[in-house]
Amino acid sequence: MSAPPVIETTGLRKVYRGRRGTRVAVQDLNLSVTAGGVHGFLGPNGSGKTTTIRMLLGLARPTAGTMRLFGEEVPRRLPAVLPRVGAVVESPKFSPTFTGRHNLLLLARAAGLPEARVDAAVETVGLTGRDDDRCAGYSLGMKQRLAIAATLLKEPELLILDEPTNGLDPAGIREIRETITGLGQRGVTVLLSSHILAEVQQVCDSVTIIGHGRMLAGGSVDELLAGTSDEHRVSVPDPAAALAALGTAGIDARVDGADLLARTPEPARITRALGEAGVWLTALEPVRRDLESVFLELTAGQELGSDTRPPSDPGSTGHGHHDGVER
Amino acid sequence: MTGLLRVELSRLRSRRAVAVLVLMATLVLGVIAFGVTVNTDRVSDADIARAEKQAARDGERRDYRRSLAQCVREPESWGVAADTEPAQVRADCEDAVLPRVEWYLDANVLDLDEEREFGSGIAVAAFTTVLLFLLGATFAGHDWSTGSMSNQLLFESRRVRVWSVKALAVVIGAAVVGVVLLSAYWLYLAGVVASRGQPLDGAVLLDCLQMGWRSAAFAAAAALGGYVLTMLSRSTVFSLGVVIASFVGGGLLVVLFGVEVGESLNPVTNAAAVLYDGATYYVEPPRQCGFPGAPGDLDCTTERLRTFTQGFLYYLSVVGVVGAASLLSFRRRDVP
Repeated sequence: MSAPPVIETTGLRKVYRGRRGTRVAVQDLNLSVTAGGVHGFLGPNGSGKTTTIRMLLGLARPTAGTMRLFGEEVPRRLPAVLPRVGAVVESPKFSPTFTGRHNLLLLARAAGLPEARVDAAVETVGLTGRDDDRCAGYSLGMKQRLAIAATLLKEPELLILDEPTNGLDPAGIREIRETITGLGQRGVTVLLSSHILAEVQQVCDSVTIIGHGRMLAGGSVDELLAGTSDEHRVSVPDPAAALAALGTAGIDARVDGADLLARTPEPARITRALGEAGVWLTALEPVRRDLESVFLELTAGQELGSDTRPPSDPGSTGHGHHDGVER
Repeated sequence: MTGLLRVELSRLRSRRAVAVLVLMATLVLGVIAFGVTVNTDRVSDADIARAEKQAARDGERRDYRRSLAQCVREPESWGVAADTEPAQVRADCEDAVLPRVEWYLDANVLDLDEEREFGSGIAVAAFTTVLLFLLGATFAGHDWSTGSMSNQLLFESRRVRVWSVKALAVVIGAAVVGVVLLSAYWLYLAGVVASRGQPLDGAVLLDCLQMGWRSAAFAAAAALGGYVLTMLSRSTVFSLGVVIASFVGGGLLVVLFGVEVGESLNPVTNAAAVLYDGATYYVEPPRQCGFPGAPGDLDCTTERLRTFTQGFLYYLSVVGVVGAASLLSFRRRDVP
C-alpha cells in the first residue's frame, strides 16, 4: 500500500464575508503533494495560495472541504501532525523587542524542543553573530532567515514556505534556494509558494498552479513544460523562402531574429515542407517553453505576485479581489 | 502545559512595555509613600507621654464618665455592638467615647489604620489596578500587533491551551507584582512608624497588609480583564477605549437620563467591598416604615453590607463573561 500524500485537500473552499460582501478566496481546491522533493505552489495575486496554506496550518478555518496532512485530518488532528511541519507564512512575524535567539528559544520551549537546536538553526541560515541582536534591527532578509531558522527547529518532514526569498539579496536568495534544494534531497517535502517562476523552475520537482482559488494545472515540472511545447526553432540560410514554404504547407511560422519559429506538433512536417521547396535546414530544435509562459497562458494575464490577505485582516492591502470564477 | 506556562511567563517578563509598567507602578507607589512620609510628623517620647497624661486626665472628667456609662447601658446608640461580652462592650465604649492620645498631639501623626481606611490605601490600590490592567492588555496586544500570534500557533496549535496559559501567566505575573509592591508599600509605612518611635500595632499592620493583598487580587483580576478584552478586540488601544467609554458612558447615562443601578451593582461599591473586606452602603427604607400599621417583619434598616466575596464575584463575573466571549472568538476566528 502506498503512503498517503503529505498534503491533500478535497473540495477545499474558503469564503470571506465582510461589510462589502462576500469574497471566495479558495473554491473546490483539490491539491495533492506526495512525499519527498520540492513542490511549487504558483498563482497570481489573490489566487488563494496563502489562504490555502493558512487553512492547512490551522490559522484560517475552511468554509467547506477536507484537508489532510500526512493522512491525518486537519485541523482536528493538527496538534498531532504540527510537530512534523515547519512553516513560514507571508512575512516573518516575531517580537521585535526580543533578540532573534530569544524568539527562537521561546518557540523551541513552547514546542518542547531541545534548545540545542537553536544554535544549529541559526548557523544553517547564516545568522550566527547577529542572533543576539534585537529583531527590530533586522533587515527583511534577516527576518526571513530567522523565520526559516524557526521552521528548522522542528526538523520537519514537511516544510511550507510562502515567498521565502522575499527581501533577500541575490546571495541570500541563492543560499535559501540551496537550503531548500538540500532539504528536498534529504527527503523533506517542501511546499514552496513563490512568484519567482525562474526560482520555482530551478528548485521544484513538481508544481501546482492555481487561479481564482481553483487548481489550473499540476504535475511534474518536466511534464508541464513538455506537454505544452509544440514550437520549433528553424535555422535556414534563407528565412524568407522557408517562411513561404512553411506557409504553403499550412504550418504556422514567424520570423524570430535570423531564425524562424514554427508551430506544429509534428516536426517531420517542417523538414518535409522545406525539403520539397529546396530549402535546406541547418538546425531544427524544439523550443522548450519556460514555466513563465505556461503560467501566463494558464492564468491568462492575471497579475503575478504574492497573495494578499483577507480584507478583514489587519494590514490587508486590499488587492486581489475576485469573484472566484475559473477562466 | 507547565513548559508553555514557563514560556509565557518568560515572554511576559521580557516585554519592555511590561517592564516599563512595573517600573511606573513602583515609582507611583514610591512617590505616594514619600508624600505620606513628608506630610506626617515625627513625635518625641516626651510629646507622647504628655499627650497620654492629658488624655488620661480628661478621661476622668465627669462628662466623659457619664457618656461612658450611657454607652455601656445603650451601646447601640453609640454605634457599639451590643451582642458581645460585657467586658468587650466596655472596651469598645472606651474606644468610642474616651479621648484619644492623638487628639493631644500637636502633630500630624502617621496612623496606619487611618492611611488604610481614609488615606493613601485606596490610591495605591487604584494606581496598581490601572497599571496592571494595562499590563494584561499590552501583553495580548503585542502578540496581535506584531503578528507573532500566528507564529506561536505554528508551534502550539491548541488555541484553548494557548489562550488559557497566556491568561494564567498574566494572572500570576500581575499577582506577584501586586503583592510585592503593595506589601512593600505597607511595610515601608510600618517601618516609618517604627523608626519614629510610635507604637506599631501588629493587628493594624496585618489589616494593612491584608488590604494590600486584596488590592493585589483586584489588580490581578483587572490584568486578566485587560488580557481577555484585548484577546477579543485584538488591539490594546481598542480595549482602553472600551474601558474609558464604559466609564464615560455610564456617567452620561446617570447624568443625562437619570439611569441608576442598585448600589449592590455599583462598581464603586463592589470595588470598596473587595478592597476593604466588605463595604456598607445606604438604602432608602420602604415608605411604610415609621407609620402605624407597618408589617412587623418589614426591614426598615438603612444599611446594607456588601461582602468581599460578593464584590470579588461581581468583578469575576464581568471578567468571566468577557473572557468566555474572548476564548470563543480566539478559538473560532482566523488568525492574521
